[in-house]
Amino acid sequence: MIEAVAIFLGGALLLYVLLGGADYGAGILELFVNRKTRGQQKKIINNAMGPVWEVNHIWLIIAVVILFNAFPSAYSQISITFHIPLTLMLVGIIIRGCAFAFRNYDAYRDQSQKYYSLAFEVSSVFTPFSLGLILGGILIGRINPEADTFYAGFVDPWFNVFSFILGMFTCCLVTYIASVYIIGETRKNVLRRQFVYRAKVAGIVTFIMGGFVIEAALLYEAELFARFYSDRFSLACVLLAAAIFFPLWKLLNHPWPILSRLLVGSQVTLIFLAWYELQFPFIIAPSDFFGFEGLNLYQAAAPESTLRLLLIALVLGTALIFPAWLYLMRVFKFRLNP
Amino acid sequence: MAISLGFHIIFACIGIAMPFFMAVAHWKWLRTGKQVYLDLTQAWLKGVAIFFAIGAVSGTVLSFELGLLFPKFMEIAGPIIGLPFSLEGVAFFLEAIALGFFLYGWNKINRWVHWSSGLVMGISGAASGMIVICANGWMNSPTGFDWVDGKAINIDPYAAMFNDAALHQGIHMTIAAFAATGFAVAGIHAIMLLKKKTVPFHQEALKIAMTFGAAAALLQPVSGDLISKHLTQHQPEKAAAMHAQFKTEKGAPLLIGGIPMEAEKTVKYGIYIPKMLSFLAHRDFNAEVTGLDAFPEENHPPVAVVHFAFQIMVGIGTLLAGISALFFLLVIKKSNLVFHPIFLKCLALTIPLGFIAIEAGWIVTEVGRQPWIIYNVMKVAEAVTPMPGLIVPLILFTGIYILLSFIAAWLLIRQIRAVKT
Ligand code: HDD
Ligand code: HEM
Ligand code: HEM
Repeated sequence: MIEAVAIFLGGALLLYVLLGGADYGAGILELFVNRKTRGQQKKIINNAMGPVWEVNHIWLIIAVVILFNAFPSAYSQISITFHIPLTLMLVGIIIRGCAFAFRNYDAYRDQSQKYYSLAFEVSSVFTPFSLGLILGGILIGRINPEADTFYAGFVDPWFNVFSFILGMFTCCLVTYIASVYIIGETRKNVLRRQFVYRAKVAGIVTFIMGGFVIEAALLYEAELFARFYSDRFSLACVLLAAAIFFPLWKLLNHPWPILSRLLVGSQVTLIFLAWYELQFPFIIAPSDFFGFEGLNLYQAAAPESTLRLLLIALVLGTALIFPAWLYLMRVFKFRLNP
Repeated sequence: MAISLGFHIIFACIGIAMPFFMAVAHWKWLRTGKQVYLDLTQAWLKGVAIFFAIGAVSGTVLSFELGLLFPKFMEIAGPIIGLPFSLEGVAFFLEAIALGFFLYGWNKINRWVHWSSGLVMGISGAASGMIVICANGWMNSPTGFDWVDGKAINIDPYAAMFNDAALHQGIHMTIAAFAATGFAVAGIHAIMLLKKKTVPFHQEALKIAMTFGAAAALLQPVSGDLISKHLTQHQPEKAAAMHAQFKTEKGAPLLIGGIPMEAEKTVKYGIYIPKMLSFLAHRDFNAEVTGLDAFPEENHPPVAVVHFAFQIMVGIGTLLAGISALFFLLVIKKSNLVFHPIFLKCLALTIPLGFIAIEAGWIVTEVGRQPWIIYNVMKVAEAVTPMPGLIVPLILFTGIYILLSFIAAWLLIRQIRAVKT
């Protein structure tokens, strides 16, 4: 039962990074646009995100709800320790969501568009970066149960090189997802070529950044990563994800965008599987250095009666949502914009 | 937290009520093919899209903020009332999917499927409101667990969700959403009519919004009375604070206005209606009403705040119900009378009132529960995060919300100005 709920939690987080991430990435991409095609690109991004951005972001809410419902002490610990980066992330979410809606639905197109776009782009970087900081903190478990200063208790767990690198990696990853995704949104050849080039650059940068993450983790002697080279499953996942670059490179400009999208999707999924394998059964990683024992799924789990109802709600909800969601995707996403 | 909620609630109420207004206009268009109705639907839709986005992001903030501010509360409450929150997640999903269809589905999907996507939006919005109130009702009327040695055992999330405050509060809240949004929208179109702009457009808009608003406003006092009676039995401290009833007495009078002096336990400058409170609370003019003196002092909520907020809500409720009765009377007599400038001016003045009543009502509910976070189980002080310096995020979020409110108002004005024809 506990594992089943954990799978839903992991799935929701993965979908958030994939779909919500593509949204953030699209915002980051806007920063790397040459002047000439700026207007066109913005239109493509707006069209691509318009019908689905709200849906994409609900995955985060689902993840949070599962967390406080099923693993309340983990939610509580994370909320206390990562108060500051969580707050930063929330500010980012507010600014981004509002700026996107404003620039899409404002009755007039005038000067104010410039400010909306600026806010949109900056918060598109800022939000996934904060998310990465938090994930980084959870992964290396620098939580000091006996912390007696503000810095040790509320800052140090996420204010460290590893978290920053993971934050940067998160930004790269979402940019990469978006850059592949966006290729399929246009038929114009000139633009497409630019997009393909950008996707390749993003892929390489993300790959290198991923290497840094692993190095940094080893440098910090993070417990979870100690197993990395000996854990066959994780290693295989990561290698497979890297191997997928080869077919992907060829397919980027293929007339069926679905192929390249599926491939990036599986790359990200593989990376997440590798991560989950290392993380299991911990929600918050232990750390020898601080004498923090970590918090595992079984200690943090809510009572049986709660989990059972939650699981029923999740299964029923999935059954209700998926057909509608697929229909939405079919109507809006399996058609090309001119 | 309170600031975020107070902000979120306004957008949530609009998100509950507007889809229904649009569904009516949209349906009339599909039926009659008259251009005004299409224009109206689309004009409303553009505004609503902005409000929706703000509602959604402020809601996302809330789901984190509960933990950021009250981690110990969530640690206990999560497993007990997580169920409504997960169901709410499902409702949000449906709502967001329906919104995608409704906003972008013009000419892309079957027109009746398109119409129903608007309706689904409204229904799932109303459902999420009802469901989250179940969680709030549980804080007022905690059930579904046994509290032993500072731990919750024998958890039954189902019983917790259907606690006995949930239904009353949920109904009252949903009606409030319609009343407040209805009057606000009608008021805006009334202003436009006073300026003599695009008459049929604004007339139709006013009629639709006002029909919803007025029906809701007439039901509101009935529903409010039901809650009050419930409170008398289940949260007598809150009921006493609402009426600033310091002492237990038979044949208690109803207090109108007045300034409660908490230290002296008296009320200054009040007007009393003899025996009325006993009647309202127990349907008996001579029944005994429990006052605050029946409870230990450390469990008293702040009387003055609760009393003022309650007076404001009831005052506005009575006023809106009166205007609504007048509206229906005018419609029955001669429907053009509702466009009489005097009535239009009245409506223009009521634009903010419904939302003020909503905020006041929430203050009654929430401050009236103090010092408890979970009534008779856990105090607020035990639930707060150990993180120091909470004033910083408070100022930060308040600043952001104030800024957003201004931008939203400014965008709304631009939307209205952009209405052509
Ligand atoms: C348009 C808004 C509006 C209007 C006109 C009224 N209310 Fe209200 N009231 C609310 C909007 C509201 C609310 C904001 O929606 C509350 C807060 C919590 C809730 O469930 O509903 C509420 C709460 C609330 C409570 C506290 C519930 C609790 O703590 O459990 C009482 C006793 C009343 N109301 C009673 C009334 C009465 C007697 C009214 C007579 C006219 C009235 N309300 C009009
Ligand atoms: C729009 C609706 C709401 C408003 C405006 C509101 C406002 C408030 C206010 C004014 C307080 C009291 C603050 C104090 O006296 O110290 C409070 C307390 C609280 N409310 Fe709400 N509330 C709303 C709805 C809810 C809902 C739906 C929930 C939960 C599901 C909730 C959870 C809490 C909690 C946990 C507290 C206790 C902590 C505290 O006192 O600050 N509230 N709220
Ligand atoms: C006071 C009572 C509340 C009511 C009546 C209410 C109602 C609603 C409604 C109708 C919506 C969808 C409409 C829109 O997006 O504009 C919404 C959105 C949302 N609410 Fe609330 N809410 C309340 C309090 C809360 C609380 C306490 C939380 C969190 C713990 C919360 C979390 C959310 C979230 C996460 C969303 C965003 C969903 C999306 O992305 O579409 N709400 N709320």
